[in-house]
Amino acid sequence: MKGLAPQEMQAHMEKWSAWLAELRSDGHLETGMPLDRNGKVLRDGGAVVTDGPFTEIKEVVGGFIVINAVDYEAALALAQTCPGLEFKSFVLELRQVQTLP
Amino acid sequence: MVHPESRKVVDNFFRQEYSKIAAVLVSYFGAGRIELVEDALQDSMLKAMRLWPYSGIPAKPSHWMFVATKNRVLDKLRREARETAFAAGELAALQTIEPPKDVLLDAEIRDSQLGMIFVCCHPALSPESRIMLSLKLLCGLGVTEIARGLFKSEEAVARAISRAKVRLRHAALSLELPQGAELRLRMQTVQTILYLLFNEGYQASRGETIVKHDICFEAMRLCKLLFSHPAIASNELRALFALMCLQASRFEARLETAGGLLTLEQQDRRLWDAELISAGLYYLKEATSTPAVSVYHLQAAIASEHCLAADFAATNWRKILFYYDSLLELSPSLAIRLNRIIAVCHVEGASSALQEWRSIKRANPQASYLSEAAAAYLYKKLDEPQEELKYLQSALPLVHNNAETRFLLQRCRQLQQNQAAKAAL
Repeated sequence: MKGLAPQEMQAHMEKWSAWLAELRSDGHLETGMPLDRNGKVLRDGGAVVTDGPFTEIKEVVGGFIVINAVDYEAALALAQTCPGLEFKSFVLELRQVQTLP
Repeated sequence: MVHPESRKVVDNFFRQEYSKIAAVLVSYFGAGRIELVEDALQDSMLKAMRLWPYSGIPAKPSHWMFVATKNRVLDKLRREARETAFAAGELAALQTIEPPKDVLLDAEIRDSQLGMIFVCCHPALSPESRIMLSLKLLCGLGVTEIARGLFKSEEAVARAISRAKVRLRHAALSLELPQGAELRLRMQTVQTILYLLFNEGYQASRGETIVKHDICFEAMRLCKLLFSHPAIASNELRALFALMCLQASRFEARLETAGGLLTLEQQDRRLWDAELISAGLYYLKEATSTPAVSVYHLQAAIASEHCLAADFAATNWRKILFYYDSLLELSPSLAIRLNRIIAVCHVEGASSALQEWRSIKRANPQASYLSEAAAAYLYKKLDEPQEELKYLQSALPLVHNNAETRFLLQRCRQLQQNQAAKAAL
């Protein structure tokens, strides 16, 4: 995303806003937050603490969104409309929140 | 928590902020740190892009963007200071920079953008990189957009821009407005750049039109910015602005739905923008408050004659020819001589225009798009389709614009069909 022109960034931002607004108005959106690129990494039982950004990790988690959907298929359909997927480098991971059986 | 809301920032907000903030921060941090400022701008805009859809647009988005970028620059400078021996005093002084008020034509923004115009038009830079740098820093366009607009590869644009920044770093130039004779000298370059900037945008083709017309309007905005400054304002600038208004008035009318271009003869004049025409005429009148006449005055006068004619047949070609003659006295260029031929054709007839074309051709035997297209036009008027086709075909490989190519191909096909039909009879 480094080489994006200002106009392209604005256009992309507006797609995200519209997407989130639609998820919410359709009742799918529970919560969500973008994550700061900086942070701490704990390893070896907490003995090793390093500062982010996590250049050693290939993918940086940019944020999370909690949605509700009747099943995986429905959730997948929603995930596939995520504007971030316009970028080849963007990865979206879809997971179910675990609940008691 | 997510607070998506319907509130949006204005169209082109990021683009306008880019040029505003870049200008103000470069005026603080110096032209040697353009790269640093641009990196910081990119970072804060990416941050806004990621954050605002969740948080909603901040109450004062311009202010947010400015502060985020400024802090980012300071962070980077601090890191730089740790690595090199950066004067601590300078850093402390920079910390106190206040963001400008949320008004576009705030005096500070205006002055720093003016300073930036002179930086982008610095004589140490090649003419081409002046245009690219202007598009990037003054118009807030991205490398891809610039490449598309100038028919260059992205790598070539990126390379030219970074080379230009290195040059500026070594030139150690001041961002103060030049004074007196130096100012007048630099203004010549600035005007040429604005004129070229506008022309880059004017060579439009459908699909890329939006970016291209934006370039034109940016050139107009910068031109206006210049003549709103009392020390810089001149009738030459007003005439240039008038010329831009008059040319821009035909944006819509000159594009046909298939993506080609329409000639003045073919355009639906009802599509011409009346507001831009009257602005153009107004500023042209303003520009003639003194007797001095520049090439921009004369070109604007030619454009105004076209705008004032109710239809193509009503065009006052005598007046246009007179303006071309005066133009030739001021600037005897080949392009003007070739353009003048069209006026000669309408005043004295196509045969005498053709004679003139031949004498120009003898002196300048190298084929150019303009010369071949002018010959094709004259043979069309003389109703000599074979000659017309010949010159259209030699003009074709010399065009670098999709719309123009389509325009020529269309006419070639038409002529070939006519020929085939005649042969069949």
